[in-house]
Amino acid sequence: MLKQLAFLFDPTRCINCYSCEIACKQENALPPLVDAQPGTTGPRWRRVITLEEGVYPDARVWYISMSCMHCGDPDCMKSCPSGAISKRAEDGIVVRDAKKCIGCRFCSWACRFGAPQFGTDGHMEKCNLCLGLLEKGELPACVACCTGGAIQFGTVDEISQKVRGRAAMRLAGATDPQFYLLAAR
Amino acid sequence: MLDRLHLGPAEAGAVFVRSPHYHRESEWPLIIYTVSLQSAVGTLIGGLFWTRLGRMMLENLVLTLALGAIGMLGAIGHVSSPLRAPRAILNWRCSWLSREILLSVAFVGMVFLAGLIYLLPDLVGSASDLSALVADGLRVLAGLTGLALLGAMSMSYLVPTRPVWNHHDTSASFYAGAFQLGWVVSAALLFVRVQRIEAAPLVLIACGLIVLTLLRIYIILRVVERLRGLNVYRDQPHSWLTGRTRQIRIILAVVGGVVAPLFSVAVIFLPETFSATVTEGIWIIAALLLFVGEGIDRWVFFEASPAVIFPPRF
Repeated sequence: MLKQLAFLFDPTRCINCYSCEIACKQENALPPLVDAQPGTTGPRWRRVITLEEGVYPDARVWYISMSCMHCGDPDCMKSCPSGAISKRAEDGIVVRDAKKCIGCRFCSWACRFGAPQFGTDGHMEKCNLCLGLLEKGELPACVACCTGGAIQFGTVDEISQKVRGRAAMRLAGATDPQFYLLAAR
Repeated sequence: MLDRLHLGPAEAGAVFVRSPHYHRESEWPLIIYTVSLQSAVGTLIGGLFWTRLGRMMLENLVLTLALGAIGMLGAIGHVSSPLRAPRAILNWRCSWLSREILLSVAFVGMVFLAGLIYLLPDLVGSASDLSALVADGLRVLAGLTGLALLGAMSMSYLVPTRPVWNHHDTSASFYAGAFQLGWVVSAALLFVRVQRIEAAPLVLIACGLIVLTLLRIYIILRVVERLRGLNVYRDQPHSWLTGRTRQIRIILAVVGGVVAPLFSVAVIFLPETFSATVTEGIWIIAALLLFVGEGIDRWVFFEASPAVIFPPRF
């Protein structure tokens, strides 16, 4: 029985500290900079984005930390010619097999969320929900280090329990992204 | 003022802030792969028309194979792990890229096999009509595979994240480009192979190229019209498409695909020995101009393809 894992993000708790990005880079040994592309920040499996709404004096800024959505029907998996990307039956995590990736970059064209990232070796890499930590019974690095507790994760059922009674939205899309966003109070 | 200057992305970037969607795809290997494979398919199909005129089956197969091989080298240059490239055909059930690669290999393989079977009687030292017949059948099969390949090739680019590509005119561009290039390359080969050709076939070949070129230009203009609405930032597709790059591309198409064939028809009235050489030269130059034009078109295709994703790339 598939127990799809998903992220829940509460933008009211995010203080834009980028600790999730840094923890992700540390845990997955991602280079902070890429020599081949001066000025870039290297592969970012998790990214904090800034959204602005309204106009002065009623302007607001939101910070949203996003990574791979571990979609129910991932475009990247369907587009990968070598079968390097797969969706685990037991928890729905979309993983890639580094030994099978040929580095054609087609997944980066197909993904609607910019999740597939490329390192200096030209091969695709992406969030795997810190599988190593999950297998040890620990939380993913981004969830564990989030200072405001804005990033949460769990099975879809658990997330449904958490958002009960609160206004929340699920990111809609043809690929069935597994990302839930709490609305501002 | 700036519109009148026809700024391309490089110049525009210096003046305006780059759009958050801008993401360059420097895809030289893909340009080589797509243009070469397209022209290989077109050359083979064109060759099927001219076989009776020039008896140049072998030359046509060799040229098709050479173009196909260049294309395959381009494809290998595109991937980061060429040694793992054979894996690329494994996901053919749902990946258009996988189907494209599978069809590319099948196409080039069939062309190679057709040439080998055609040469077999000479290699073993016996006369046989059967080998020519089998080779002919394989050529037709390879032609059909090539048509399917062009479809798969264009389908690979119909992805929702790239509105510039995600339209049926991408498929139309790939097919029209293949037929135009194939027509001019196979015709040039015919004129090199057959020194003197009758006026009627020459006029027919020239008219064919003009029609295909007008079709190609019509598709280019349709793409420009469609992308007008997508041009949000100064460094976005429309500035490329209406700029100097596109003007050069259309001039090359007109000179190579309209002026050159008309000129080659006019040359018929020159003395025979002179006209054959001039005709040959004109068609070779026309083929080169159209190749460069298609290359520019593909370069713009990859360069001006902003990714529309959530969140925007930054």
